[in-house]
Amino acid sequence: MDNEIREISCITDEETRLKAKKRRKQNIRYFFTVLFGRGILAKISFVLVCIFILVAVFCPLLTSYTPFQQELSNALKGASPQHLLGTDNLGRDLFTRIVYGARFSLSIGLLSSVWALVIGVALGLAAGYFGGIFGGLVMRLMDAQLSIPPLILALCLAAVFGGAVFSISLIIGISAVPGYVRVIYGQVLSLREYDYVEAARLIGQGNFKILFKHLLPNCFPTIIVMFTMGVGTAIMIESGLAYLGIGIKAPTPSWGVMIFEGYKYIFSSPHLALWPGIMLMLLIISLSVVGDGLRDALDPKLRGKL
Amino acid sequence: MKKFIATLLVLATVISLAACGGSTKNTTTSASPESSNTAAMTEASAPATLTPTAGGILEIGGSAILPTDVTWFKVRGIMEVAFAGLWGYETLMRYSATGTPECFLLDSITPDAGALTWTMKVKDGITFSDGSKLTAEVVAWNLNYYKENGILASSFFSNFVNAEATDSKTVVCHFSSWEILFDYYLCRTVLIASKEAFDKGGADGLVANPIGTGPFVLKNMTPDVDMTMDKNPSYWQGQVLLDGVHYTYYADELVAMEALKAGEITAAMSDSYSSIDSLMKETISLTKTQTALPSYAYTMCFKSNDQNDPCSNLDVRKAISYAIDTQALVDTLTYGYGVKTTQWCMSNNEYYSPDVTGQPYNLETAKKLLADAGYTDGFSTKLWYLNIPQMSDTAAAVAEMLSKIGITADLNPIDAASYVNYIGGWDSGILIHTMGMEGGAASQYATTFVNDISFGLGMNAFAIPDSLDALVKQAKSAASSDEAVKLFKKVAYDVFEDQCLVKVLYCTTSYSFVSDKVHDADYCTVQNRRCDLWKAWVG
Repeated sequence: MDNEIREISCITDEETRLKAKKRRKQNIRYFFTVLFGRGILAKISFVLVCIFILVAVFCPLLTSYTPFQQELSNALKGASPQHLLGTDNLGRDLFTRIVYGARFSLSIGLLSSVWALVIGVALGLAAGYFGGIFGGLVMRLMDAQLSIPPLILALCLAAVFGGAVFSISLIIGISAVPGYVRVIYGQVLSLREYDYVEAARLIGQGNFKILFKHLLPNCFPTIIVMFTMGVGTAIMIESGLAYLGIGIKAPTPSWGVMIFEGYKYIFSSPHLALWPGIMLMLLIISLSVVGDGLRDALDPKLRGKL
Repeated sequence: MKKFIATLLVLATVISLAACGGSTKNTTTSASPESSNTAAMTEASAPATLTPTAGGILEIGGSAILPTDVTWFKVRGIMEVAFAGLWGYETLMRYSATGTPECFLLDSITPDAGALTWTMKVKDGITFSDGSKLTAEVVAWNLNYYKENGILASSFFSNFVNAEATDSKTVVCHFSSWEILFDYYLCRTVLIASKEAFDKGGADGLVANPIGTGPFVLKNMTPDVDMTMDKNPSYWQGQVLLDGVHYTYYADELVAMEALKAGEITAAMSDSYSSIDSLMKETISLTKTQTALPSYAYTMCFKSNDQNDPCSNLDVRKAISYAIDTQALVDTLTYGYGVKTTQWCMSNNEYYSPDVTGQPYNLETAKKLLADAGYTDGFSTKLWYLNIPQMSDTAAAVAEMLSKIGITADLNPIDAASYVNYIGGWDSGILIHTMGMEGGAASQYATTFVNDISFGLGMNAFAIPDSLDALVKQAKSAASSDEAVKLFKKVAYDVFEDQCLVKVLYCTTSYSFVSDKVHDADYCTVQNRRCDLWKAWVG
């Protein structure tokens, strides 16, 4: 009898493991199906994002020039075997600057999104979980900040703190904080009422543990989606600042700086502004499409509806 | 169906865009982009058969920002002076095409070093636009008012004591110590305003309603938008043919140039070389003129008074100068339209010293000098510059050239709002400064390379030897112009060659572009501040 029971129990455990494994496989399949389910555009976008990341990481291997190397006698030349996309007004290789520009743009996009994520998620979690005066105060502050358009806020902060990569990424990150705080705050408000949070509290787990072990992981899908979308927005703001002459300063090969520098040659040498503009557009659209796909794939409410 | 609609939309867009294009015509004029000389270069003049006709408005456009007010004694910048000319203000003297002062509202001006006086005779028959006459008394009042209130008085009128009218035509200016450059100063300062208008409405009245002796009278001005001038019917040089002039401000230089091509405006002035190059290559019929006098000298200024700064070492300063390929800068940054020079004037100027070679480009000499100074492996320094595109490009090019002798230059752009705080003294390294050349080289030497100035370029950055300070003061107080010229040439040699306190990278000139519908417009031919539009006519 005991042996039978043990056997049945083993079979049940095995079945459960298999079911869990199958469910995981199904989930992964579902994730990729939804992620790429938006058609060829989603697939191309995903590939483009991967290419941009690879280019940013391995840019020194892709070109024999440095982004600052000048050949004044070769300024404003068109495409040639030596200079695939031509040269700019100081004879710098445009392809090299665009390739390095991907590194700068993605670095700033990622770095500012990390800033926004760390500050925004921490504030959102704390405000949502503790609520009360603290929560109200945080949310009113965020409301106040939201009343200022992110680009304008970044413009003012950049004018004060300067145009170094670190300060620009922090400034853009700060301007994106309210978005994170509001979303995480809303999620935590509903999550904190769940039984497992109550149970964790009853067995004596501290606030810190509840916040970071139970609530934060449940916010991950939202955070991932916001992060992906935020990178694109941050790159756009950085380019906007650079174009307005406030952000990253020349001769750093940020795409925004390159568009700004190339603008005055728009009629005589349009490629100077055109190429970085196209790259910027492709990267931002790709990140946006990938972000949309991630949202659909990670949102449990949309499961089965797409 | 979808494809059909998409095709239709694309076609409609293309047709709309084509319709929006300017109606540029390929007619007569061809441009010569190689012109980098100092003589006025004018192409495409009016056909000889046309006879001047009165009437019409000259539409000028540009990206030069309109001043916020019209306070005549506070006008200082090149473009402000150019606008003041349109408002109707004129100066007692003007520069010739070689940069020598010439009488304009005066018949003559005579220096007397022994008596410490400059005596001027005022031209007869000049009236202000309010009908009042320009007399010696009015000129003396203007000079004394400028001494008290003028924005450049502390620099240029420091030795000026007062002016007195000794008769209806004669004004005698008294000085505390001799000032041989006074005639130069009169070319760039003291816009002559109506004393009668001042007596009636005070300074505020004149600011609201400028009254000068010029061919036009300001009707209205909206900063950041436009300004309108009516003709002065009683202009002293002759009948003004135009009914007026209208200036439109374009926030973007490219838009202004496109407006010119499209015929929205009929005249424009530019010192943006990408725009100049683009218009010079245009085949539309335009009169393209290069100003005879240069506008700015892009100059590297070394922090030489700080012993901890490598630039305090003369060999280092010379090494840096030798490392700069100025011809490449002219060819690239100005498309060849700029001018290569070694000092703050051009070779046709009387103050030009041929002895100043300005350390011609030689990397080997540069490296050797750097090694002699103890910097075999180079060093790191800072490069400061005003954050505008032409400056950024110049700084980037200079930094790259310095890297060839092992000097790493950290680029530090300065915002326009705080730039004025830097020109007196910067933290360390090198400041790239645009030295205005419209005032004449001697006046710039006289107000820069002396130790007791209260404001000015390098005041807290240049290590000016006592010998140079004394030489400048001696030149300023030279008894005759010939002696002053000789002494200022020595000053130039000391500044650019012997001490290498500064290094001229290149000089810029401005270009004006006038439609073939406008004739006899002497628009910015000598310098961009000087527009003799009274003879211009539209037809």
